[in-house]
Amino acid sequence: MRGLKRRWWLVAAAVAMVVVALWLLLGSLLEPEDETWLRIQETGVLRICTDPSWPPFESLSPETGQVEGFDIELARLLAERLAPGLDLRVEVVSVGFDSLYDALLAGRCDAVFSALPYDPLLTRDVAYSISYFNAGPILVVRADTTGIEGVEDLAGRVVGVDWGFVPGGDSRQRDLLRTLPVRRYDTAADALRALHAGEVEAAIVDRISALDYTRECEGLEFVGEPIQDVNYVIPVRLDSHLLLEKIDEALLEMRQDGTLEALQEVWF
Amino acid sequence: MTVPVGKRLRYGRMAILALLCLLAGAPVTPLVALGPQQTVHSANPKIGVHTRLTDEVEAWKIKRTLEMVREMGASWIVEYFPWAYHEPSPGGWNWSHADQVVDHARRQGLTVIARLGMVPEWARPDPDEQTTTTTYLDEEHYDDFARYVGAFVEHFRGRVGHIVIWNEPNIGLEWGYRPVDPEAYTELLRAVYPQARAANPHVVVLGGALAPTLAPEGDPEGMNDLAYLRRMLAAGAGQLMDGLAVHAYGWRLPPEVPPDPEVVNFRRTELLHELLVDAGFPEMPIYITEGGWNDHPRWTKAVQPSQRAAFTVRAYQMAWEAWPWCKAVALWAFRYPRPANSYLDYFSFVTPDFTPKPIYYTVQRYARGEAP
Repeated sequence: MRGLKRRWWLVAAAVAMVVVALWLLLGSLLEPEDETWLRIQETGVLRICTDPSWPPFESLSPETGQVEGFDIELARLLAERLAPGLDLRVEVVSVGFDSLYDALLAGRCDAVFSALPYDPLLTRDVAYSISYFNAGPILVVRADTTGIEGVEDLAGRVVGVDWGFVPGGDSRQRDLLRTLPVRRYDTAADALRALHAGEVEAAIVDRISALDYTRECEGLEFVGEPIQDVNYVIPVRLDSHLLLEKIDEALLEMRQDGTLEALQEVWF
Repeated sequence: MTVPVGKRLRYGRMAILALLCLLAGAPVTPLVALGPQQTVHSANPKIGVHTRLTDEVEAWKIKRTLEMVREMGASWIVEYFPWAYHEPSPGGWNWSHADQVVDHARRQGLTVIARLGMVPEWARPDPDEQTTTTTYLDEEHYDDFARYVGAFVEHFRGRVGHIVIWNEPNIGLEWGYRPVDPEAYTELLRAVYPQARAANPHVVVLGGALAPTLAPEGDPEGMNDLAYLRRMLAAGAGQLMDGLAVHAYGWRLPPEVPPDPEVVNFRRTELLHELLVDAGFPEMPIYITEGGWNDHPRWTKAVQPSQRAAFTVRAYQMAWEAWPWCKAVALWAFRYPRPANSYLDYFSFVTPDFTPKPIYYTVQRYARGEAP
């Protein structure tokens, strides 16, 4: 009787194994193809769309006339990791800012590297990578400032902003920012100069302007992370699922091994 | 006769249920009341904005938008009333959303200029035979559009006194991706004008609303607006409209930069006015139904936010002081119902969540007669 029971267990285990094997096999057979990724592998070319009018992310080099910048370098570094051994070449397609998404959807490129912020309203049209840069507004103070650890410490202090500044973030933060005695300057750089000169006690400017300014001038420091997220991401077509998976994996690696930070050091 | 307690309870429950059913079927009273009649107080009664309420679903947002327009000191709004929304099937009219927008605007003391366009599917070729966009209208259906215009004018008689026929017909995008054709647009005006006037003899029919463009001759994307207007007028459009709608964008140039046929700037409006004068219509008024400046940080046609605010106020003032033939300056765009997440967001005066941008306060101070 015991021998019969053991035999039943063996049969059941064998059946289960066959089912799992079939499931895995069918799963891999039914997985939709990613034609973009197949073509990239076949041709060895990753085509990226960019609007070269936004330095330091992308602009035309006055010396070479070629498109250069943070995003272009990011694309090259990513290409090396997407398919090691394939030696992928990055081909840059210059497109006007208005047409970046259309160019992607029309197949003129495989991905957009153009400092594009994540847009929740377009997620039915394109798929986005994870973020590689946060360009949101950031709080900046003089290095010798004490007592400002975050936006909540700004109450009653004079804050410099660029002229078009509109309070953002969650409702509590928005309400707080609305009550601040802000001093408006024509540009973000002007607001930071005013901070440097002691005209204001803190400044809230976009992180790109802040990085750009602090590269040239010492004595200012950032307080924490951006107070509102403006995450730059890489859109691909919805059916480019394998390409997206590989881009995300590579970006994660680059975030962890410090490549993204090093890239920032180079371009800011 | 006494009714047992159990039965009474059951009757009670049934009565409550019946009452709930009745309430569910009853017409719903709008939760957002129009409120008391308001008046616009403004030092410059030509100030206007193009609103974007066509796709604004919630009534309170429609009302709040229009309150803020009034509070900024603008007297005029331009709003889009798509034919495809109001006549989704031939003769099947639906004015509910349009009524809401117009009634709230009027209650805020605003004058509405209605832009009419967007072709419903039933008035376009069979999609199996030809793919078309909502700006595609062939001559066979001009009378259908004219009927819509007549019905609109009739429905809003006493509430909407100005209508714009079509939008930017001089660019392919707005002309169904066909070669643009000023004579064909004039024929559209010929079909529309008598219907509109029959519905309301006082309605002001505005033609044109041309896109300012320097497109060279033969450009498949569009036609130079000056050339287009010249051909419209030669085809008889002057007798088929009571005013000209103008789009006056400044791009990167201050409003004072003199007009030049080779430049797109705010004062290009003067060149369009001169064409009307030359064609024998010196009294024909101009209404700016789109225009202004953009302050996106990277768009190539944008200026800095402080420049945009200053240019905007100076443009309103120029129209008030120096352009007696210009009746209104409705700049693009007061507020979007949702973020466009592109350079378009930087044309607006107020964010989708109703936060006023600094330019809003600048215009408000100007409209109150204070120094900007």
